[in-house]
Amino acid sequence: MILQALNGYYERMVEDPNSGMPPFGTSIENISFALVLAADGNLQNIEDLRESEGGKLRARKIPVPASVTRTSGVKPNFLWDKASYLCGADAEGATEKNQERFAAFKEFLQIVGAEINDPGFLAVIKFLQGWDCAQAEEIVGKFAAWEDVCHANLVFRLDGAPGFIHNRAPVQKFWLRFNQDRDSAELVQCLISGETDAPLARVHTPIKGVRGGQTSGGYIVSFNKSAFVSYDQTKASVAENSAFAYTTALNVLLAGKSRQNVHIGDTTLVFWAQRPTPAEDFLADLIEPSAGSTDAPDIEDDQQTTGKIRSLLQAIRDGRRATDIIPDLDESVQFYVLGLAPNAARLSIRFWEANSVGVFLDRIGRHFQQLALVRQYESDPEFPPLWRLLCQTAPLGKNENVSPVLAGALAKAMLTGTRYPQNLLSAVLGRIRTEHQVSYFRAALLKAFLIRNHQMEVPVSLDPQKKDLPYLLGRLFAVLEKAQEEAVPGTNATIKDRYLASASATPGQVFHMLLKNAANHIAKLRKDPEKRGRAHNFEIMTQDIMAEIVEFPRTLAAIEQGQFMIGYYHQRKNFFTKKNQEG
Amino acid sequence: MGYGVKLRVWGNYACFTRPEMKVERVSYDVMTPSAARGILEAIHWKPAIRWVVDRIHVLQPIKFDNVRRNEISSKIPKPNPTTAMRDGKRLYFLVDDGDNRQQRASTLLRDVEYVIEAHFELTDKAGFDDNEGKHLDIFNRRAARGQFFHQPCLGCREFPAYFELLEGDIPASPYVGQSKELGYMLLDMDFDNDMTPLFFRATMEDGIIHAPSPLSPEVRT
Repeated sequence: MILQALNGYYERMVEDPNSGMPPFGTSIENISFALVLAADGNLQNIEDLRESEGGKLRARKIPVPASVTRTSGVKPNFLWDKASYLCGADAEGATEKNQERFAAFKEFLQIVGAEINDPGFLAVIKFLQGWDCAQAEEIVGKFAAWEDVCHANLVFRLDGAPGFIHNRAPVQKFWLRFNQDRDSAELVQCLISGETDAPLARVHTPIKGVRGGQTSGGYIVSFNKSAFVSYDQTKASVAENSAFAYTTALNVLLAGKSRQNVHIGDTTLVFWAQRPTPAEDFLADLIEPSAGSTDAPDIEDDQQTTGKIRSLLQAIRDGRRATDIIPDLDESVQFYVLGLAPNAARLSIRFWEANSVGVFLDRIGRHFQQLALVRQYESDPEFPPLWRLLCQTAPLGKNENVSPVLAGALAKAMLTGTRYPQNLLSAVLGRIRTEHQVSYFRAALLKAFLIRNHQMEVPVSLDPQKKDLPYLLGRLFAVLEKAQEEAVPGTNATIKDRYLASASATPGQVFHMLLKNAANHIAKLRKDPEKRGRAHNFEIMTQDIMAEIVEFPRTLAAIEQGQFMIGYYHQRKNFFTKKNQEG
Repeated sequence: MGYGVKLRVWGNYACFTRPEMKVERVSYDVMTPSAARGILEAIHWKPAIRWVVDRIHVLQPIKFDNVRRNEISSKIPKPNPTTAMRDGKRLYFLVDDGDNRQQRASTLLRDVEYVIEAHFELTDKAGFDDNEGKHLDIFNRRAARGQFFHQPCLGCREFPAYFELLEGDIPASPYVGQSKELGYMLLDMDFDNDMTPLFFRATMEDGIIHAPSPLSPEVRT
């Protein structure tokens, strides 16, 4: 299922020479510098491979011979590594440990390359033989800043020859052969490819790039405690090449630059398709739409993409086909979405869904359709991204306070089309009660929740014909609040600050008192000749709403409180819309 | 086959753990043949018979869910129960111990229902008074009464399986008319052969998964 699909993605990508998917026996690492050697092993230059990104220099990702899994011991990589292995020195100088590393690096090269007869490789051997660890800082310093080099990963290049030494054909041939010889592994049937008599993968490459995980990466397949083992099977029957394929594919998908991952709460979502499809490029934008109108994109190309995504979002929200916007989209392509979350040194599968592109687009469209609500401010996003919605359920509106359970469940509801998590309602109402704020995002969440989980009909903007009692009570509260605002401007604590929570939970106790107060507020307005008209307005509005209310219920259930908040939001929004139109 | 049985099993949760994802458990999409065998054996098993699962029918849509649980990381060391039994001592194993506690996430199945079609074969342990009719009668009687040796479960001990003997037709699956590749699935463990796992390529046709015989060439290649 998951691993098979990843394996399939790897096979698909490795056939495409432009994809940059590393072949078997290699891995992609952050490399900063190349040591340029002469054929006699003399250091000629140090080439800076870093790329500038947003004013900062970042290491380049380059395929190199597969890295070893290193914990605390000394284990060298082949023809690339940190300065402490290549030069035997780092920021702390040529310590004993670093000299040991340098020796291990040299020895490993000699073991693997005993028969390699390549000028590039021989240059490296000569370089290592003639190197003095103690003078590393001085020699390197001639070509590049030592403090940059001493922590970075380095590779070798032969002066005057294109490409890196680890990429030279004879070197690669011997590296592959060395890997195969070394494998005295058991032969098993691989449960990913089904291949029989395949060499068993002992340790799977760690998966890096999952937010919140350890920097050294986490494992999907691991057996790190005795209780996790049954039938004495301490290893999964996965062949080495399959293990390489799925870990590599996942690492590429999780890489920072990839357009195929999204972070929601503590879960990192990655997605890919069985066949090439434009959906792979834009799904991230659909799940997490950028703010859009407010921040102006830098370049025209970006602007075009943003525009396209917007029209696509509008289309799928309104139930139209995505193919109207992107004609070359095949909706039947199988699509995979995988949600990963870190747990100690392991990764847990939070979410897994395989379906066609069309189904995913429909579900995302339905999610935004249910969220659709009249916006409080022009700057509010038309398509609220999940993280902004989630921040509204957290204390202080902070990302780190968002409940991971809620985040995961909300993302899941969006992508699987199932009900929203039940605790969403209480989370949103709870925040409204403590902060006395019914924001656009909160009202939108309540609306979507009531529609999807309780099959209610909730309008996008104020509906004066709607006769649901909680909705009317919400509207009435907004009218009373507005009357107070106009009669007593600049009050320290308005009735919203004091009574929003109790009015929504126990209207029977609060509304009589609020109405009495409001009578005073309206009377005050009437005495002011300039505001007489407003007083009249408020009176009519109150009467119109009150005409539908027979009796104030003693309590409102949570769902009804949700309707109350939406009524309140709609009515309040309506006041300001009218004002704008008049002005 | 004259001595086939049909058993309907269902439950609220199920986790047919994939062998490669045993720590943060992830379930297979459907019940594995070895899990089905476990349920049958819970109801009736004797050394004289060996259960062979033929087909598994999927009667509910496949639905995944996610839970986090506190579990433990170690097993009771084998010598402990041995010496405890020999010396007649009490056996202690402190479970709720911070070092021993492990929080694990599981991706499991919700609201499952299956029909297991299976038969049994007599083994070489069968005596002269063992015959197919006798064991079939015992199984059918026990299943009809809801008797079992130990609580049958859906993949993990904590997810009990409810069961009934199915005498009529097998209900239609929501997957009729569809074909779904489920990848390589665990068929069973080969206990005679150093507990080697056996895999088969599982395909769900019309909601039915055919389990091959462990001796068939597609399993042993």
